[in-house]
Amino acid sequence: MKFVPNTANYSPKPPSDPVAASTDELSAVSGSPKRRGAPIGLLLFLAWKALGENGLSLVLLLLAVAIGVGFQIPNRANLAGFRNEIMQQEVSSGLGHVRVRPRQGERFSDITAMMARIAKLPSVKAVEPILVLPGVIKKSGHLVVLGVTGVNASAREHPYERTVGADLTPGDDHGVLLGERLAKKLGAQVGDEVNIQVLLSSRPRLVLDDEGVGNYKLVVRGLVGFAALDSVFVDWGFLASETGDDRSASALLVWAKSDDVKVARQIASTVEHEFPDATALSWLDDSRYLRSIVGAVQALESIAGGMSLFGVIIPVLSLLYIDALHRRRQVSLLSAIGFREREIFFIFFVKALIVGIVGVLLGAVAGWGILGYFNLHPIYNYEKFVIRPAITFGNMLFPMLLVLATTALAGSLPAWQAARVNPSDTLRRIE
Amino acid sequence: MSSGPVLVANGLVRLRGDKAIIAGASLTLEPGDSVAIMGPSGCGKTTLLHLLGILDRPSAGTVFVEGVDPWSTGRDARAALRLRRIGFVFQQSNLMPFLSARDNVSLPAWRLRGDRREALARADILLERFGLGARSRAPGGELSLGEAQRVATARALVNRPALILADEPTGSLDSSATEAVLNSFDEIVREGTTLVVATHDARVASRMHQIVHMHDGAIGAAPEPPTEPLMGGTNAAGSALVRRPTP
Repeated sequence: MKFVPNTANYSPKPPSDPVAASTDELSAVSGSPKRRGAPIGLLLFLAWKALGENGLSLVLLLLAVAIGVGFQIPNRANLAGFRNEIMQQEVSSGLGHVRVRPRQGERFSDITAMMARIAKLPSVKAVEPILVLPGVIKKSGHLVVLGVTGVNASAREHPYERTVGADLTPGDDHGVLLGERLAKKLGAQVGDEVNIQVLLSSRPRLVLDDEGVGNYKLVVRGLVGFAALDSVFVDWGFLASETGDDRSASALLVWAKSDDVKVARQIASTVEHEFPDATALSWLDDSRYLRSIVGAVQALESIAGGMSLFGVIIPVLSLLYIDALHRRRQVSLLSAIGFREREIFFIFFVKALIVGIVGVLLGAVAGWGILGYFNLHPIYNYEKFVIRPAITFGNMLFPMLLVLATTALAGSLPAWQAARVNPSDTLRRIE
Repeated sequence: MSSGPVLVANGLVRLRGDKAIIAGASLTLEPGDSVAIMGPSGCGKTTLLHLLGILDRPSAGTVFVEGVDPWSTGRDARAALRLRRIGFVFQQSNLMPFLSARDNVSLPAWRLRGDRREALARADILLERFGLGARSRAPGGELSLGEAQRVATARALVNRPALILADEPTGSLDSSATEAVLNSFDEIVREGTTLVVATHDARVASRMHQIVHMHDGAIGAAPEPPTEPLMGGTNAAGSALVRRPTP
C-alpha cells in the first residue's frame, strides 16, 4: 500500500525565514543570515584544523616539499655557478663575446679603422687585437711547440687571467706570460728566462736568421690560468712590429657589456655588415665546446628540475589524494550541512597551499644552508676551475615559486575530487 | 515559520541500475510533525531520507522544501537550502573529529551568518541544553557515541531548520544514550521543528507522532493495525500511517 498524502493540488509558496521568526533562546544571539558565501576565516580554519589532525601525514607532506626545494636551490645555483665559471674562463677571461677574423688570409694587415668603429658600438665594452704566430718554447731541455699570442699589454680585457707575478707592460719586448700548466711542464717560474722561436712571416724585416724565424730570450713576468693554461703571451706591439706589420692582427676580440648571446650576435652581425672582409661570430657560435656546455647545462637544469618536481608532485599528490579519500565522509557531512562544492575545493586547496608555503620556506632555509656549504666546499675545484654556487635572488626564488606552484597543482586534483564527492553515496556507508 | 507544509514529496522514485530503491513514495510533512520510517535493512529508508534532504536526486517524482523545488535550482541554491532549512543527524561518524564539540555545533551557524562569535554563542546554548556544556571543548573524536549524537543533534538545530532528518540516530547507542537523544528530539518537535527518523528501533518509533513502514522501496502498510485512528491532518489519506499520542 502506498502512503499518499493529499498533495494533488499542492502549490508551492515562497519560503519564510523561521530563524527570524523564532522566539526561542537562540533568537537572542541571531544575527543576519543573509551571507551567501562561506567566510574565508571559516574555510581557513577548517583547512588548518584538518591539516593538524594527522601529524605524520603533515610531516611527510612538508618533508616532500621541503626536500624538493632544498635540493632544487643548490642544484640550480651550482649549475648556474658552473655556467658562470665557463663564461668567465672561455669568454670574459678568454676570447671575448665576439671574435672577428679575416675572411681570407691569416691576419688583418691594419686593424686601426676596424677597431675604432667596433669600439664605438653601444653594446661594446672593449675591443682588442691578438696576433697568433706558430712557435716553439724551450727551457732546460724541454721543448713545446705552440702558438705564441701577442696581446695588447695596456688593455683592460685580456684573453687570460693572470694568477701569479706581474702583467706585461706596453712595449715590453723582453717579457712573456706563461700558462700555468705549460710553466709546470717546462719547470719555469716567474723571473726565469725561456727561449722562444717564432715563425714571423715569409717577409720578415727584423729576421734573426735566414728562415724568417725570430729567436728571443724572454723573462717570465707572470703565470696565467683559466683557458690559457698551455699558452704563451707576449706584447702585441712588440710581436706585430717583429712581423713588419705593426698594426696587423690575427683577430679582434670584442667584449660586450652583457653575456647575453643575443647582444653578441647583434654585434657580430653589425661587424660583418660593415666589414665584408671580416667574419664575426658570437662566443656561442664560435665554439662548439661552449655550445655543448651551455646546452648540457640547460639540459641538466631541466632534468634536475623535472626530477625535483616529480619528487614533490608524486608524494604530495598521493598523500593529499589519500587524505581526500579518507575524508570523504567528512566532506559529505560538510555538503549535507550546506557547504558549496567550491568551498570544499577551497578547503582542500588551501591545505595544499599551506603545505606548499610552509614546506617551501623550510626547504629554502635548508637550501640556503646547503648553498653555504657548497660555497665553502665547491663541488669542483681543479687548476683554478672552481664551481661555486651562484647565490642570487633568482636562483633562490625560482625553485621556491616552481615548487609552490607544483604543490598547488598537486593539491588541486584531490581538492577537486573532494568537492565532487557524492554525499548520498558516501553517507550511506557505515564507517 | 512557513504556514504551508515543510516538505512535499510526490511519487519519488530512485533507480540504481534497473532496480528501484524507492518506488513511488509520497509524503507531506507539516511543521511539528514527527515521523518514524521503519523497515528492514536495505528497504530504502536511508535513500528516502537523502531524497527528502536533497542530498540525492530522484529518478522521478518531485520534492518541495517549503515550496521550493530544489532540483529546479542550481547546486549552490540546494546547498543554501540545506544550510538554512534542513538539519541532518546520521548514525555515526557524524562529527569532524578534529574540531571540538562547540566548533562542530557552530559550523553551520558560522557558515550561514559569517560571525564565529555568534555561532559559538549559539553552540554553547545548545550544548548546555543537551547537557554537554562541560564537554564543549572536547574534540569530536573523543566524545562517546551518545555524546556525539547529541552534539550532532545540536549541530542540526543550530540554524533553526524547519526539517531534521535523522538516519538511525540511536543505532549504535546504549539505552541511556538513546534516551538522551530521544529526549532532545522531543524538545525539537515541541518547538515546531519537523522530524523524520529512519530507524529499526520500535522504541524510537514509538516516540514519533507517525510511523511509516517501508518495504522494497515502497511505503507500505503497517505490520500491525493502527492503535489509534489517524485524526484529520494533511496525512490522512494512507492506512500505513499510525498516529501516536504526542509524548
